[in-house]
Amino acid sequence: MSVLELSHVTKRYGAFVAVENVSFTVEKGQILSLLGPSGCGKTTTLRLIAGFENANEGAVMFSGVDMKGRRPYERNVGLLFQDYALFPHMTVVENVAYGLKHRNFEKARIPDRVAEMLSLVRLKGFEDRRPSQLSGGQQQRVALARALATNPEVVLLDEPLSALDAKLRQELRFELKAILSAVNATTIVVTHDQEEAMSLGDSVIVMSAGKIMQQGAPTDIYANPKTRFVAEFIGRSNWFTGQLARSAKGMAELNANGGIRMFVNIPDSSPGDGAFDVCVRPERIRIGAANASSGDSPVNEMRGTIRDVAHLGADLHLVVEIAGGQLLAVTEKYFGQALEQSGQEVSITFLPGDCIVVPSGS
Amino acid sequence: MKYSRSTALLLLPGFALFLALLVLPLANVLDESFRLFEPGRIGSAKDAAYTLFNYAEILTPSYLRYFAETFKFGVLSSLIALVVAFPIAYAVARQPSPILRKLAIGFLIGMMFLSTLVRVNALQLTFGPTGYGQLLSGLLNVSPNGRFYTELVVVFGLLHYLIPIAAITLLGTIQNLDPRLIDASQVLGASRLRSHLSITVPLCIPGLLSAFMICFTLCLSAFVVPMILGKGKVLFVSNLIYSRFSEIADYPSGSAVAITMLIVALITIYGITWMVSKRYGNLK
Repeated sequence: MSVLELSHVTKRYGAFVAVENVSFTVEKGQILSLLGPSGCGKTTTLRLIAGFENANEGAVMFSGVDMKGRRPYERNVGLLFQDYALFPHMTVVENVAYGLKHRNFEKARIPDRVAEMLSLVRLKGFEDRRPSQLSGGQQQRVALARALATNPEVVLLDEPLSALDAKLRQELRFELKAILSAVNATTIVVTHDQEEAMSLGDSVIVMSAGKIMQQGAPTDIYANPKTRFVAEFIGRSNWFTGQLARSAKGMAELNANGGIRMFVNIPDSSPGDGAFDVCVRPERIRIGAANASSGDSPVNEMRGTIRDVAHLGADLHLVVEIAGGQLLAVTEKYFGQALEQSGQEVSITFLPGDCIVVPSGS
Repeated sequence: MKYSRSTALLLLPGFALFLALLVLPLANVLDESFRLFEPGRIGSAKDAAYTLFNYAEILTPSYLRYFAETFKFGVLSSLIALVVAFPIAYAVARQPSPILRKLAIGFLIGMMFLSTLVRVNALQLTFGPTGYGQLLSGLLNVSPNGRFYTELVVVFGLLHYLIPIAAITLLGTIQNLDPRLIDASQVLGASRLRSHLSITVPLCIPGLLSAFMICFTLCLSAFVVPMILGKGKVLFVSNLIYSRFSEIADYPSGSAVAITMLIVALITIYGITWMVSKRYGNLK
């Protein structure tokens, strides 16, 4: 049985539908990311699971038990707030012990449990500090220890890394994952940051306007987005729009706007007629002419002019202008090569397999 | 910070006013309080001898009663005002509709513009013999002319202006409180009431302390409320000072009472502040 199941959950505020017919399940020890722009309903979903809000329709079930009408303190949920919400008038120990005290944890065992949690988050020696005497990363670890102390059925993380600076974020992401897997926590991460969602989640749900757009493993969502919204929200993308003309062997030719023609791979369930959008990820486009020995598979080749080269460290971000004035983003790895120059004429190539076809305007 | 000449010049008018209107009269009162009073005079004679008699007199039970009464009513009414005002302030601070919130704040501020005389007479009208006095005293099973009922109406009179002031003072404190702390507490298993008792109230101690101080100070200086609603049964130190000065023109005695009251009030307020900040020193 799933630890958490949402079944056809709808939440309205007056005429505004914040969450519409959302269903998903989370298994024991799994980490699920809810990803979407602000206002997509992910935070409302989190509040529905925690019990701050009640669904108008559908059910939130913990291990098969309907949570309808149960208040937050009548459910066993661990919640890590974005701004941590540590109690400023309590020490680290008092913060971590708070849930144990109120969940009627055996009194004599509270100090041991608190010590155990603090060593889990590597905060030994900070017992008597107050939250104001801790750094952001340390505060977050206290909040995590506090959320996990009561052994919650479901752990909810609200934008867990977004309050931290970029370097610390990388470190803590790894640590967070290790801690969550150490206690085998069933976790939901709510975030608008795709990196956070993909790096933490075993599975990612992309939401928009209260609805689930797509669910899958991070790689699956990135490689096979079903809609333009998902493709654009996750990662960077270049777009071509036009009519598909079917050809053999799961391949089609796109007559894109601006007179551009290219071969694309089409999914097994062949798309119908009409307009399609084709996405090519920047890292799939190569600079340089087509290799003559590329076999019988067609290669899409275009001429273009480099308009910008940005050296970001390991990555080079280039902007290439092709026929019709369309600008393409191209990413290359930097391994010591001579950089292309702005204004330089180049050929760019990509394979039909590098193209993702989605219905136009989706 | 270095004070330049222009800073000093800016402070000069305020300082002069402070000297002329506060320090000088207070020094006069202090001087007067040590003078010998001859009955029949108005105030002390110009070259009256210095004496401690005026202060010694205060230690007699009939005088001490005024002090005890004032402090009793002050502490009691201030505490009741806090208990009543806290939920009001919380509801206003957490009111999601900005229009309703502004209306509520406007109403609280408007309450403070009401003249004390009007309030007191309105209460007298409402809870006196012509109003619900009979009904209320009957419900409480006390005499409408008895001491308890009179004390009750005096407390009503004090609460009438303490509650809005306490609520407005607490409003800021509660608004600064992160509402997520209550969410966090509930997720950790504490009911709403327990969450407020273990999170909201302790975090509001500094605000509660200032609200208490304001209420308590206002009670100590209350004059019209005990004079009219107290019906001669409940009298505060202010009423004593008034009668010393205006009724028998014993300025030295009135001054001594006033100085004593000032010192006792200051000690009380510093004492309470010290105790609370020692206990909750971490809360700024």
